[in-house]
Parts: sequence; structure tokens; C-alpha cells
Amino acid sequence: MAGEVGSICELPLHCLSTCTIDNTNRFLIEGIMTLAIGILSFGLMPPGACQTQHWFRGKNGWFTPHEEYILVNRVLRDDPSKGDMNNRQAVGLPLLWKAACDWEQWPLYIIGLTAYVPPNPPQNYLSYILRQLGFSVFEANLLAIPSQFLYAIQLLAVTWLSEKFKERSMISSLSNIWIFPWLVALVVLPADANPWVRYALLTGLLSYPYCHAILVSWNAKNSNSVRTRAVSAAFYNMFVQSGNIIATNIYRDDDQPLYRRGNRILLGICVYNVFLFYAVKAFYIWRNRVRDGQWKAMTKEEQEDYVFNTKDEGMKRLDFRFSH
Amino acid sequence: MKTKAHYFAIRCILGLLMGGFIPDIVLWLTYFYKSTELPHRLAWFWTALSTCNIVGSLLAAGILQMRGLHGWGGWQYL
Repeated sequence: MAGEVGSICELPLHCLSTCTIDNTNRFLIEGIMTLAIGILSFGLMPPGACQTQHWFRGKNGWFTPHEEYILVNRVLRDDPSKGDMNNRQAVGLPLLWKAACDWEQWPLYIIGLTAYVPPNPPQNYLSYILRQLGFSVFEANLLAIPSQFLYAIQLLAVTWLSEKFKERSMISSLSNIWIFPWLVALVVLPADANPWVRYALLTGLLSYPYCHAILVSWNAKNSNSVRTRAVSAAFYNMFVQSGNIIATNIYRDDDQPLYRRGNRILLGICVYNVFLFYAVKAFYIWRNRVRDGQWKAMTKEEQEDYVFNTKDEGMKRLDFRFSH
Repeated sequence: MKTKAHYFAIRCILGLLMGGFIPDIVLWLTYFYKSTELPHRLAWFWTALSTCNIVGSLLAAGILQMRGLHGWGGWQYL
């Protein structure tokens, strides 16, 4: 948000910069606002549901002891693994290594690497094409509103759909299925086509249903331990960032101004993504089946003994099943 | 900040400091929500960015229309 308010200020400060003040002031304003929000968050964010009492949040906290009891119970009953570590306990190097070795989480990281590559270059291309049409940076921002708006709606809709059907992979694949026809249109659109048609196609593409929220929750769900949950969210994010690096290298100067080759590459990645989502679903179905087999091979007594005494941790537990 | 090297160094530190933000927010939210409730809370979290872009651009456009009122420039109102 600080960035946004900062970019509102950008315009007038830019006007000023040509006269008296330079750009450092813009960064100063953004920096001060970010700092203020950061300091406020120290007071506003409680360490957990049972620690809401604080001089800044009110001496009585947000919840009564009874409400806290309910809050903690519902979360722990849904996922008992959330109680396996204290929230002030650090994940050290050995635990970090252990979390990295949870190989059944890796397919989700592989999704993170490429799932958001196809819409990334067109996002940057949108402001380029708008400036080509003779709009200023500021007007280009305004013309990005329709896609921003639809994108937010679709993000909420696709996430709602996933919750409703308790399905993650196939619904997440809708993101790339949506992108596909718009990319095809961009590849075949003749060079002399009306720029507004290109703008409409880009707006349609960028309104894609963003599946990031589903993927992040999926990661958290399949971690089945606080340490892997903490680390897998970070790993997943690192893979998404690496994907962004890939994405910025797809449109090349020698491909200007229509980036047909770039769009064909994106099309390839887009198709690969759709198949990848289904492959990952199959992977988790297979892993669950393997576990079912191992679990059923045990006698009732062995199963009970396993539940209480096993050394298997987190997602490696045989009584845990993956979501997909 | 004087050279390219300075810029990259500072950008690196910035990335290092910011990197933990999203993963930690996600972990923090899992303390409060069940696994079936988490996705759409996270979805709202990510709509904040597009909402800000939209509201910000519209506000700026509106306020800039005040150009010339009482002898002030549009950017001064902004």
C-alpha cells in the first residue's frame, strides 16, 4: 500500500523533479510510510490467538478466554500438526534441511516455477502498447484498471471455487487454460491490426484467475508440520521469484515489437503448465495409494502402535494423506 | 548511492530483508485459520494490491481534475 500511495505521489513529485526537487524525495516518502506501517505492525499483530493482550491492542485483548479456547481447538482439530512447535521456536539448520528433504512437496515448487510465467511478460507489454498508442504513463495506469479489476474478481472466484469443491490442482489449472486462447490470438494477430484489439486481448489475458492463494494454502496443508509449513512457504516463494526471472528473459529486443517468438514460447509454457497441474494431481493420488497399501498391510494393533510411537514426522506419516 | 555496485548492493539487502515477509504472513495466518478457510483469506490478501492500484489511479485521476481551482495546480491538490 505504501508503494501505491507512493506512486500517487510520484506524479506530482515527478512534475517537481523537473523544476526543483529530485526523485530521492519520492523514495523518502515511500520509505517513511513503509517504516510507519512496519512499526505499527509490531503493535497490531499479535503473536497468536492467545496472546492478543497488549497495551497497544487493549489490556483485555481481542478475545475472552472462552473464545480463545474455541479458536485454538478448531484450528488444532482441523490440523493437529499445528501444535508441534511453539511459535517462538526457531527452525535451525538441521530442521531446515529436514524440511527441504520432504521430497513429496517438490512437485508444488515445480508448479511455482512456471505457473505464473505466461502472464508476466504481457503484463509489462500492456503499458508498452498503451504508450505506443500515445498515452502517458499515468493514462496507461488508468487503462490497466479493467484488467486489474477482473483479475481481483477472478482471484476471489477461483479460490472460492477451489474451497467449494475441495479441489486444488484442476481448478488451479484454469489459470493457464484461461490464458491459452488469448495467447493464441496474440500470436496470430496480424501486425497491422488495430492496437485497440491488441489492448483488448491483453486485458483479457491479464484478467486470468490467479491461483496463487490456492497453491500457497495447498503447500501449507500438505506440509503437515510447522517447520515444513514455514520453510515450504519460503521455498515455494523462491521458486515463484525464479519464475519471474525466467519470465523477464522471454521477450527479447530482436523479437520487437510484436514478440511473436516470445508469445509462442509462452504458449508452450502455458500448455506445459496445464499438463503439469494434472501430473501433480496424479502424483499425489499415487502417493496416497502407496500409503493406503502400507497402512492396510498393518494389523489393527500395529496401526495403533504406529499412531503413538512412530518416528515418521510431518508428511512422512503413513496416517497422513495428501490433498490435491 | 553513487555507483551501479552501490545500487545492486542496496537492492540485495532490500531483497534479503523483504524476502521473509510473505512466507511469514502465510505461516502466521495458519495459526488463526483452518486449512479450508485459509485460501480465500489469502485471496483477499492478494486482492489488496490490485485494489490499491485501482483506487490509487482513480483517485489520482479525479484529483487532477481539480487543476486550476483557487489557482492551485492539480498535483498540488494530489
